[in-house]
Amino acid sequence: MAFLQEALQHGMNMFNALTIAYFFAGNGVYTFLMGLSLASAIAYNRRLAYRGPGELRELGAALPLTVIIPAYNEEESIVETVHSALRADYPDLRVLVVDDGSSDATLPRLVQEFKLSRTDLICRSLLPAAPVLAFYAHPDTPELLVIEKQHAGKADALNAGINFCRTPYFCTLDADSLIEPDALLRLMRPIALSPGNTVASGGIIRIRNGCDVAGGQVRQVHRPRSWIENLQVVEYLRSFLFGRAGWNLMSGTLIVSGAMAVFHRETILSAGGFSSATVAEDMEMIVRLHRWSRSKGVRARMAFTMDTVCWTQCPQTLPMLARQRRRWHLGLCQTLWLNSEMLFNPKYGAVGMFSFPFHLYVEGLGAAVELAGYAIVPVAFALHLALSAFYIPLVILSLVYASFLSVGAVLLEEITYRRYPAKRDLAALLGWAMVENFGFRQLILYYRFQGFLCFLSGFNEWEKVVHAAKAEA
Amino acid sequence: MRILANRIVISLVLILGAAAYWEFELRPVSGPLYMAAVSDYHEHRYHQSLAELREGLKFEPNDPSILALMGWDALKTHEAASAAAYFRRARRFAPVNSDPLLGEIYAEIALQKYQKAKRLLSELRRQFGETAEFESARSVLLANKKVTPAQQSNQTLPAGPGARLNRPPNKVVLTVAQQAPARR
Repeated sequence: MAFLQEALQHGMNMFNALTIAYFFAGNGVYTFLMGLSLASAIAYNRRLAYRGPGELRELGAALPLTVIIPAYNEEESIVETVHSALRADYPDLRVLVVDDGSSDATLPRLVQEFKLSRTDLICRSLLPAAPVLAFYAHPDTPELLVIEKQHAGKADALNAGINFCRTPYFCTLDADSLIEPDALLRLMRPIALSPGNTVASGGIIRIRNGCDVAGGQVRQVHRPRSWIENLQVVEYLRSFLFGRAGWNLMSGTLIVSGAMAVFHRETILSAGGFSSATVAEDMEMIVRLHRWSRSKGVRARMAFTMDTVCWTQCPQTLPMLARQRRRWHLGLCQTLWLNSEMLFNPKYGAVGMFSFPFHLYVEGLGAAVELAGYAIVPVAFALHLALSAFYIPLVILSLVYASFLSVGAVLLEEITYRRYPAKRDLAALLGWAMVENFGFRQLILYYRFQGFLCFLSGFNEWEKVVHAAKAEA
Repeated sequence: MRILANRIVISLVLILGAAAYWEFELRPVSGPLYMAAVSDYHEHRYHQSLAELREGLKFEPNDPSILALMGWDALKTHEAASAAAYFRRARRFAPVNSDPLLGEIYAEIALQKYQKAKRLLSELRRQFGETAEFESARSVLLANKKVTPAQQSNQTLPAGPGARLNRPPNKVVLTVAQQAPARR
């Protein structure tokens, strides 16, 4: 019995040491990223003040672009999204909707709204994709093409779209998202003006819940009403303003949100297109592009625009939030596992040496470590095991510090982009940022942990998030 | 075998190895300080023993061996209130051991809290039966009720945990603390 107690104590001490290292590593990296993001945001705003996003149009350097919208059972939002894409301020734009075998009225609504009629097209399939059933177009809107195909998932729908894309670059857009009017100019700017080969470009995605939307555009930005949506607004701000901007400055971009991102078509074709092997086709694509570019000896750059490019809907209920976070975490784990050879591999530069390890240990395994870190406190008391002297104070300090980072993200947003003009909204967001880490963070950790368990069990299914209006119907 | 060549698996094994190396080789432990404190206790250098134990407590703040010996040291230096606090804390981490409970009884007697000492004595009997330790503590309690506080500490307290329990000091508490003398 004494031996068992001693073994447990040693195990507890080891776990304490690991958890403390995790807290220091996680918060240390986030702080570093915060500094980088702040510098990045200031530099971006200065550049923008000198030359706005319209520079590309004025220079005549806007390369032809196709917006590909994969849609599966999106009857509630698809029409608005297509309007939003068609109204985007971009000189040479096509919009391609891929209906991935929807069982609802997605296709009929598109046909009715844009007065589409069935047409015939011949295409050479460069990427494998499920069979296309029909094409729809209208002579009055020649820039819009709708493809109907058998259901085979988002990655397959994107591949089908790429097969029909005739422009050097394409932009993926989620069917429940709305483009900012000049978003495409912003996203294409680093591509057109870059001296290197920029193969992907992403930007900041924001939550549109609560905003006034008309004609496919966000007219007035407001904070959402429910606590669950408000906390996600803070989360998005922290994730995009800190995480991605910071990594981009270090050339360590590992995730570009597929909700809206621009890709170089030829490069994607060479890399084999989007893969259905994971449920996070956007992250998997970026990681694979890093590997592809190293293996081919091609220097490929990923750009991140420090400004809002699109507005998306976030889950409004806990079950839907659970689905989304499980899927995100499952996709993250799958992608990291599939590309494990990048870990601490100097061949991959900052991605292999810093970004990949961070995403693996802090993001991927962090959910399990942090949840166990909380659970270990009552277990230690129940089994009369001694916790490290610094353990509980560090856990509390870490949560308080995380709140400081969340508040920092909201303040960074306020001093740079100011997308929430009402002072009341800003004050409320600051309040939510302070409480986010006490309850909501742990809930999200629990969902992420479920995603981790899904990964361990080999689960590979896309859990679709249904938004409230639809769920009620 | 392919999984063993996976960089993620290798890195996780290395991290676990590093944690084990830290735990068994690098982590500062209180063992040597504790041994020195025991030796000082036996040579009646209680203040020095306490100072060493305080240092050891920084590494292992919840080690019941250290806490119990600090209790005995404090009792010897007439700091009965501190002694009671140390024993109480030791008892929390080693509730199935008689030594901290016994120490607390003596500390409460020294504080003239006889009712509390009596309650703890009953607890000692309930948990461990009518052992020699119990009898000794009971006779001390009875005797102390009749003497002045000034006489108490010199007349009634045991010579030390080792002498009193007829075994090496602080080998009595549970958990890893039992192994304390064997550690670095």
